[in-house]
Amino acid sequence: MNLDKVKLITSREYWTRVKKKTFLISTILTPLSIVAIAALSGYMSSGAVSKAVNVIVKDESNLVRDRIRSSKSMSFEFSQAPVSELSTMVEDGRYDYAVIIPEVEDSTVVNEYETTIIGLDKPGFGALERLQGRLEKATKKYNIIQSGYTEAELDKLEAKVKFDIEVLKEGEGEDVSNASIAIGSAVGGIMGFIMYIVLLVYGSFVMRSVMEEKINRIVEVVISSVKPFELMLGKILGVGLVGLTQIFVWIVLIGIGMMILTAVFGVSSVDPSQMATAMDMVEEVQTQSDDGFSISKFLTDIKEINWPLITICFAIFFFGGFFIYASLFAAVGSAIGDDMTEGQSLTFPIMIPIIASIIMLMPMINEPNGPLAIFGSIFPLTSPLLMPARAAFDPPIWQVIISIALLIASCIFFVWLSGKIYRAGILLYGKKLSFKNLFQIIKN
Amino acid sequence: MAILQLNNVVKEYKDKRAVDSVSFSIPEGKIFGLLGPNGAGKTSIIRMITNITRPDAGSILFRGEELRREHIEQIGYLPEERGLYKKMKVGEQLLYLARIKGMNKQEARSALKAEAEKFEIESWWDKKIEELSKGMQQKIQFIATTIHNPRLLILDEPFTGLDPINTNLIKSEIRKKVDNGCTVIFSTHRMEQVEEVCENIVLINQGQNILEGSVERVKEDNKEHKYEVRSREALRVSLDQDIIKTEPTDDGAIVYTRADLSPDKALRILLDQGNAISSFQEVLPSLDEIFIKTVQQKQEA
Repeated sequence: MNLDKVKLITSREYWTRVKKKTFLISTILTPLSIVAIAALSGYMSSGAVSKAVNVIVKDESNLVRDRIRSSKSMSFEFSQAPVSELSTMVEDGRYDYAVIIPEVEDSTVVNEYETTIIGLDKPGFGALERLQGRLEKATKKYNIIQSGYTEAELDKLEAKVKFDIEVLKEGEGEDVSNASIAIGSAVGGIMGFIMYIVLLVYGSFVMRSVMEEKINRIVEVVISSVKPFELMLGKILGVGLVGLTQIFVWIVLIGIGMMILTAVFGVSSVDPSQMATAMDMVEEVQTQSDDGFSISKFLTDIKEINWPLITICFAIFFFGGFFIYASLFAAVGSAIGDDMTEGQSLTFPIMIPIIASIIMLMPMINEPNGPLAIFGSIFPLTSPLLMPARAAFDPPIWQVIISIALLIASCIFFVWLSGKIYRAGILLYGKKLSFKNLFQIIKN
Repeated sequence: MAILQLNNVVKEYKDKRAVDSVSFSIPEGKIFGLLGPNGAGKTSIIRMITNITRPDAGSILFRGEELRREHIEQIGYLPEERGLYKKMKVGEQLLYLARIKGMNKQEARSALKAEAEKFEIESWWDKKIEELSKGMQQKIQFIATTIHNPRLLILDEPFTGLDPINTNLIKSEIRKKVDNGCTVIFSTHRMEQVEEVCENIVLINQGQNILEGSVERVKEDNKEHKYEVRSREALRVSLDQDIIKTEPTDDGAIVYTRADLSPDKALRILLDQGNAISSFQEVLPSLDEIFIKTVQQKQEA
């Protein structure tokens, strides 16, 4: 094999793709839009968009007063003024809503009551829900005191369950935290998803590139100068490097973007896991921050993940998986006739294991050491997608080794097989090859 | 010495013998015609010469050595189906194609610069192939085929789709290459093109070599002893065992003689019969006619 020629082909495949406008656009626009979405939601949850709601409360029997908390998005003031006066205040625009809490008898537990809300317009669903939550919470505290407890006493009764997970594995006695499993799931999911995109998108790029050369006949000129196998290899390498470049640029740009966002909005508003719980739930989080979410904890949890294993796994399985699937796609591309649309029936068998892998991904993350996970991460057609994902859960090292060995063996097998089909396929014009033809080619 | 020698070369595809024990040799420094109708096996033979496929039996010698991959760098191949990377720029493409033939960057660059001047395509350098007309693309492809100064140039139907001006340009370029010692294999099914440019031919039909030799020799071997005779007066020819047949024309006749009668004797006989002859010319068959005749004879046999 002439490596200089392979290098030449690889660099042509790489540079013609990377210099294309569509590549530039998708490489820059994708992370930009992800960052933009994050910025938007960060901006929204920062409260800059939603106006704080000012509420004036009439609470004659002190049901909720002193027990309700004002926040950035909703502030409470109390007044004993008659309802009509409160109405004018709302009309004047000094308050958004007036809330009238009914009078209750002293020393009774209040389980249910109706409040009147006076406003110029209908309150939104979010505001209503927030208001309801706060009133209920404050009333609950009132009831506790009415029942003869103090808040301090109640706090003493609070029970919380934490997990201290000890994994019995050779050479490891470290504790695994709850959060590290969550992070592992996220990392595993992202890894699996990246592999899915790479195999499908870049695999079919290889196929299209083969078909183009065959259809415009330049392949005859090229393979009169280089071996078909060198051409196929150079093509796969070139396209694979384009994929790596794109992923790398994405990660860097998203990383930089997120760092900028973090600086602008602060961590909590940008962290996707918190986006849903932002707004008023921030309050809750703050009260729990000593044992729940804290940045330093998050960082130590991230450190707990076996990053070297994940990185090595990802690199090995990226190349292995890409070579297996890209060579298969190349073989299919060469076997398809002159018509670009003919490929469906031949590409389908290749897509099945890729799609099966992505379907297996979620169940596997939920049960990373179950039989499905073990099988999926060792079987060479699904392992490229599933093993990097599973690596976040510290799989037994012998399974990783078996999986890699199988991957390399089948990589060699599939590249060899595809090389055979490719060599014959690119010179056959007109007719699409049937599976029977393919077998004949392989047998020869 | 023959630059290329094929010995009983066989190529089989699954249900067909595309090349059936073909032998011929190509003398160096000449234009060689590889002739035959569509589907005769020309492309299969070319693919074996260009090392794209291997013969199932027989051997191919390049300058006396068994044909190897390294010889490819001395061969330039312009396939019948024209192909270039449509989205690539002219310059990049030529550079790439030159380099996969084994030229290094500097060599390729300076050679391409010279060619670009010669073919007046410098202004196309940064244009994409798809922006060029068919004829322009063909020029680019010709440059790509010859840039590495091959000893052997294989042109498969090089003139299809070219206008007369570009046809002449390419023709004169081919001549120049030959003058510089390059051998050209000119593959075509259009025999009339061959007669003007080729010195030697081989005729392939249904995978078999049915005729081979110099154009002159082939014509000589297949001549029908046919003469075009012109005369101001009507010709009076009496038929005998020497003059077999005549066909009158507007200003004379076509005269057929027996096979071993030489032209001068035939002319003497006609003069002796009292004809005033203004012109007497031997009619050699066209390659087209020879081809059709040979194929028919083979089928009858």
